[in-house]
Amino acid sequence: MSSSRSHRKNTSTLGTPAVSAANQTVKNPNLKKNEPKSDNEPPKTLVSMEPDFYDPRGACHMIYWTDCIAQMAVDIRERQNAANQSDFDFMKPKLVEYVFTVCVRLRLPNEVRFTAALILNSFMLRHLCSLHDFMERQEMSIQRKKREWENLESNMERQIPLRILTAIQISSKFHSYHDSLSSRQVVNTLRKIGLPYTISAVLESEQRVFKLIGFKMPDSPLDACEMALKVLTFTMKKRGMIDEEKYNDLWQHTLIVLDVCFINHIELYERFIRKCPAICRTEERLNISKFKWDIQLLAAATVQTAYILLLGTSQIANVSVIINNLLRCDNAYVEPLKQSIIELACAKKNESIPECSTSS
Amino acid sequence: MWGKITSHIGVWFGLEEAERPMRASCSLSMIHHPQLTAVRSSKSSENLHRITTMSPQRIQDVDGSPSTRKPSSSIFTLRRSRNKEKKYKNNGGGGSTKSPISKNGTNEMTQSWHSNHVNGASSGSGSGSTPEHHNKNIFSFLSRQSRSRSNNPSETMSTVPLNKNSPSMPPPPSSNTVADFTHLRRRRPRSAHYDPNTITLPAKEEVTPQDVNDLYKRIDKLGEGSYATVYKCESKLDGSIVALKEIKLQFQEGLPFTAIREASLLRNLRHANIVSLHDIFYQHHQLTFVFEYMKMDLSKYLEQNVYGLDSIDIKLLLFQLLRGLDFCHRKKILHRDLKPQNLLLDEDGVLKLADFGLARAKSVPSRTYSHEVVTLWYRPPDVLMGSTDYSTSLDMWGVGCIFAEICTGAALFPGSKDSHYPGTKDQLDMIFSIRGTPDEKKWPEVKTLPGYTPELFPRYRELSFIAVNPMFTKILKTGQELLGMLLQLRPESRVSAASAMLHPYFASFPREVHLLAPSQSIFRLKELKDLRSL
Repeated sequence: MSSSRSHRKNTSTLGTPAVSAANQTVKNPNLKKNEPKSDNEPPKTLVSMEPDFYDPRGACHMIYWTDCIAQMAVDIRERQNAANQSDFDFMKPKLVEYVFTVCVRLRLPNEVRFTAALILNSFMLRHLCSLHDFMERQEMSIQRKKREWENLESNMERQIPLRILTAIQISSKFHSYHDSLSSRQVVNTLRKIGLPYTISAVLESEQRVFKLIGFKMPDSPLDACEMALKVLTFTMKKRGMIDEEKYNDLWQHTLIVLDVCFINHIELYERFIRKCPAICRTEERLNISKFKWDIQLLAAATVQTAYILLLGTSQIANVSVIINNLLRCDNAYVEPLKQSIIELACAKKNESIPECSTSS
Repeated sequence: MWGKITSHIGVWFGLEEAERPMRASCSLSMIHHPQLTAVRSSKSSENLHRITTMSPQRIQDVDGSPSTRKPSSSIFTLRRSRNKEKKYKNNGGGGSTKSPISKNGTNEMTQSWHSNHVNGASSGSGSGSTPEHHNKNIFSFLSRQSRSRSNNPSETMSTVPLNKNSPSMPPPPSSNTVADFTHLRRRRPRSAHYDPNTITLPAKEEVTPQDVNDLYKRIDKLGEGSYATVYKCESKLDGSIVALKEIKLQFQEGLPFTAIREASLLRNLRHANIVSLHDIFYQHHQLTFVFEYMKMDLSKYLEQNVYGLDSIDIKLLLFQLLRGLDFCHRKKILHRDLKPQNLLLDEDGVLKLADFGLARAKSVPSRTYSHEVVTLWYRPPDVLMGSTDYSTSLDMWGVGCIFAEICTGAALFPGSKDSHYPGTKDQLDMIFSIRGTPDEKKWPEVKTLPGYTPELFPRYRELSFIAVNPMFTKILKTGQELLGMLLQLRPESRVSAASAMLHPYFASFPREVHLLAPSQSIFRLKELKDLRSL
């Protein structure tokens, strides 16, 4: 996040969500830990939440790069094999956007919002399934079951803000100790939006969500993007392809593109599937679900799109080869996904122009 | 049924179906409640809003319809505390509610930051959205009437049969618009005072979760830390011995981040040299991890061998440590707390990495992480000097320290915080006295470390390990060479776990040891099985 917390280097001021929210949000109380207490006290090392793609220090050892990518590919394959057409049913645009907005307002690190959205989706699916199974087992009339199901739906719906905050809380704790949300902070945040939950309720919700997602954290496409950008930067540096200051810009563009992809993923993959006539249409929803699990494909398309947006298409052929080889992605799928992202972004831009003109 | 449910639920968030906006929920949509106003605090340190409520009179003006409550015949009854219930009754169910609605009617939380950036990202212009954007904000989808509580035909597209057949439905609301405050006022307090996680079933149908105490019998307390207590337990089902780690939950903090990381990381780490997490129980506000039981840890074993271990045991243990660590590093996981206490041993001489409470997933590019990791004696010099952009080399220094410790029986760098040097200086002094003071030519980056103060230390020269302790002769020259590669001051020069396993020190091991599946122990190979003397 290129927020004011990124102290180590002057990052670009390109429009990431954090930049836009910087004036509207206040400090995460945890950040006080990093601030000097007085003028006399020397400032402690401030923690930047931005990855450094240029400096080889602190990067994962090169001999592990291919292993990490291979491991991710194996995980993707496993998830694709177990994919269900309903796997992303709760990743609705506005729900994702809400999660993102809360994360940005709380000035949480970039990776938190993506993981939080995936946690929420996973939880809601499993929660719904478990409740449905429970209802199925009840010995009562259909009419009564329907009535009870309505109650359940109402309860679930009422709890959505709590679940959103809980998903963000778990994600924040996984990614960053310093920026993690405590139960007290979640209670305070919920109170600010008019939902006075007790701290016990928040604690119980955290345990419940964590349990229902199987105590596992979903893999984030941002992780794959970071991986791709690191290797791309390394290769471009070796070949002298672009100058140094572009790395951070590329990262900021990648974040924006990934935000767009995440929020509009339903529309994005519908466009994508239309561009890939070879994909079997008999089980379209299942196939889309499988493609959605392929975070390396999404990362490849995202980084390449970001590159085009920032630096144009002059070098994109070389960049595509580097990234596709690295992430083992078939260009026959990357290219349509890339085009879909660009079309989607253009469509969204056109959609919003009348609004802006109306407002002015 | 599934499709119906998902479409049903999907409608709640359903953006594809813009013509069927979501009902005015008492939860998210509450923030649109016109009886509430929120004032952005100009210099507030809080992150959201300062909120004011309207007067009760205005609330009454807005809410004209009588309160309707569902009969309690449902099997799903919601729990409400007595105090809250009294309060609810006293307030007539219409108590004040807080919500971050701005004066102009838009909700700050609902204003999308994203459209701005998608549309004008490269301009880097200011934040926030236009009031008009509010029409498309993320809460607009909440503005549909309740399916479950409304008989309005225009709203019951997918659930008409349900509502028609429901004998307990409340009377239809007076309005089918978003601003139907009757719904909000009637339902908001319920949302506020019910425990959201509770679905209480009648006694007859009550399903009690499986209690960990019903499954395991505690035999002994193995240890207690600041965030967990570990017990040796026997399974009541099959008599197997396990280790139960009971996580202490902090009321204000919720689940410890250590528990979240340990659980999620260990779920992905199935390896013969990493302790297995069999199960996780959560009940009675407590989280319990069920681990495989190991006979002892390496520190206890070293207590029985004060002059260090046999050379073959050293080699076998070191290889297993590297093997487990290599598996973690391949999955981008840093252990960050390697020490003899966290290396467990069983009767067969199998070593397993344990305690992933401080572990974290590492990104491929460098990122900054906390430098307050790893027990002082096993912390590398770069981290002691404040480096935050460490990588797998962090763990490799710990491996070197442990390697030396199992050779001699004593810690190689037993620094103290209470010495005449402040902070970590004594630990650094210990390290430099053996490994030499950092040479800025060989390690130029050292100058950028915040804690690098060469003037505090005498000018040390690097010592040979034999000069430090004659016990190092038992690992021969190749062993000392490997130890030197592990204990490099410059993190980038430190050998990786994968490379260390290929070092000539392990030349006596059969080649097949590198071809074993992750879940296979090295003692699966007969040559190694015959070697062990533990």
